[in-house]
Amino acid sequence: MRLVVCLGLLILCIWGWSKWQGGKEQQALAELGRHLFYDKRLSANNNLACSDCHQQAYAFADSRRLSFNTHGKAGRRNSLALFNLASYDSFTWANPLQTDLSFQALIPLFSDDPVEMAAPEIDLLAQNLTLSQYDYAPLFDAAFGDAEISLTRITAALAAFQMTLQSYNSPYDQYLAGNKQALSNEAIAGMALFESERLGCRRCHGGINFNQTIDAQGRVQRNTFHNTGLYYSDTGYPESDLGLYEVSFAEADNGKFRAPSLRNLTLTAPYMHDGSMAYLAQVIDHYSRGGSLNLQGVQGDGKLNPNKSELIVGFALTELEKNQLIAFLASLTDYELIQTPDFSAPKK
Amino acid sequence: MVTMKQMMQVIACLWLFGCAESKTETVILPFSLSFEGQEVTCSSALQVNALTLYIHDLALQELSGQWQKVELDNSLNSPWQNESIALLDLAPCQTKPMGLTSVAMKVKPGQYQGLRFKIGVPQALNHQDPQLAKAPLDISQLQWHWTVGYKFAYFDLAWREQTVKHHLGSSGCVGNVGDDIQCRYQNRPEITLPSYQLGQPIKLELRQFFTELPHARCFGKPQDKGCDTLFNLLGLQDAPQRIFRLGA
Ligand code: HEC
Ligand code: HEC
Repeated sequence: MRLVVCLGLLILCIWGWSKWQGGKEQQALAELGRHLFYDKRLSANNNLACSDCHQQAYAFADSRRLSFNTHGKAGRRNSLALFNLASYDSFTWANPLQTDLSFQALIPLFSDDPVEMAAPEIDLLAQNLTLSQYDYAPLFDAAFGDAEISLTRITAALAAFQMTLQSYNSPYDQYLAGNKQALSNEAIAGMALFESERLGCRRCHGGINFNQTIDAQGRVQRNTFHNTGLYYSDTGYPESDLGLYEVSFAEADNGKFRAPSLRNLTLTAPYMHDGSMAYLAQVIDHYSRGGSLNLQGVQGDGKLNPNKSELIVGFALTELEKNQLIAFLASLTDYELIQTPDFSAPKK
Repeated sequence: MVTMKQMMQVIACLWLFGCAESKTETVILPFSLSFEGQEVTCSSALQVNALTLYIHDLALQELSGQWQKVELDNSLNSPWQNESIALLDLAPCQTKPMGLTSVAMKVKPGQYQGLRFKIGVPQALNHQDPQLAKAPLDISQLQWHWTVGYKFAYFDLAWREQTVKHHLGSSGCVGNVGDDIQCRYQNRPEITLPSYQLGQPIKLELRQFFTELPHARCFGKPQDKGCDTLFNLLGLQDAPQRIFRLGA
């Protein structure tokens, strides 16, 4: 009997210890990732870090319409905010192939269309990191048991850091948790509008992160993309960005994009894949009209786009209701995300 | 019962096979660029900023018409090739080339009347996790991360006021990274050069890339205007390829 108890205790001890060790490793990995995320030495000209296009103050998006690359040139898409990333089926605005967060980092690092960071090949990159303001040897050692720098390690660490960016402490979350004071009456009225079938927002912005597609039977549909009728030019959408069509080569996908989370919207303006809308009021006008007319000076009525989702039908909204809806969307902002010191630039 | 004769036949077969296997010679297959028939150098009017190609599945045609698969000679331990795939970098006078200007083939002695090879990375390797890939597939610049594959061919050329920028690779792909990925357009051109003789060099004639478009570009997206010319020249459409030629 004593033997069994002893053995049991021993097993429990080993289990607890390994769990604790695993947790520590995960923490060390994320800490390494945080340094890399904030390090401009990952770019060709040592002038651009992940954190320049993904800034904590803007919920890890940037405040630009289109973000700027290492050569100071604008790209073609609006930077995405980074939080609660585990809730997405695929990463970036319209690419179902990007299902792996570590792998995704290779795009900003090495892409030449558009150029973003233009990092050199790994041997040069590793050399460059030894000149960084941060001392990487102990960081890699803590995360991996030795100081070797490899691409797999870099991307694994970046992913681990990004997975720590959790954001579930908005007034809306507090309200759901039982604090009825957390939302104003205006926001509560806006919530009812948002949840209503009349507006239909929930069909594409479902779930706790407002980024799931829900079918008519209430089931979650995975990896779904939508054309929301922003444009209808000669080529469907402007040729600079055709969304999912570029990956799938299926014409019905022209202009389809992923519905992003609606959390932290007040921090992530401008909106849409091309940053074409500066204000939430403009976004709501777009949905209310059932599509946009001559958006960004692109001639054509997006409302008539044949690829447009049948869920974007338009609705009438009073000025009061519009303000209520905006108040609700604003209540989804979690200021803790932009104040958490663990998410900010590490000291030298 | 196996008769003595049958046994002798089997042994003879094995012996012949083994013998033929071990007796290959290394034949160099050089590649170079030409523009309107002139050899491209660093002082040519044509400016080659980059030109790389992956090639694989080489085969030689015997006089009988049979195609013989050819392995690459990896005894030099080059970082730009292994037994089955080679990376060519044909931009002239580079200080830091990213590939070879010729490949070494392991050829069974004999007479041949043709050569063929494919441009690209074989399907089985094209969608591997590139961070774990072995040479010559470990080059980030040639990996096509947004579409989870490789840039089979990479052209960055300039001539007078015109530019040509092409990335060739499989497109229209679905699937998961590290898992099974299928592409609607494979885009692996097969180049066949009839009447090839061992030792003959291959030339790429580049003038044809400069079409009416001042800035031709095919980066693997459906809206890219340059793709038609690129695919046509490489024989991916109905007509045979027109870029690769045999030299003297
Ligand atoms: C030049 C600005 C820029 C830099 C630098 C940059 N990004 Fe991004 N990031 C973007 C843009 C723009 C998008 C949207 C891209 C798209 O949809 O094609 C994006 C998208 C993402 C996404 C997808 C988020 C989602 O919701 O699906 C992740 C993850 C990401 N970036 C991580 C990183 C990491 C890690 C780095 C550093 C290695 C980095 N980014 C560097 C601009 C940048
Ligand atoms: C048919 C699906 C669909 C419906 C219905 C829908 N959305 Fe969207 N929403 C999207 C997609 C897709 C995008 C990204 C579109 C793009 O960038 O081209 C988006 C983008 C947005 C954005 C911009 C987010 C950002 O970070 O840029 C806001 C805000 C938004 N939607 C709010 C709403 C509201 C409010 C409703 C209801 C009135 C609604 N949506 C209904 C699919 C939908």
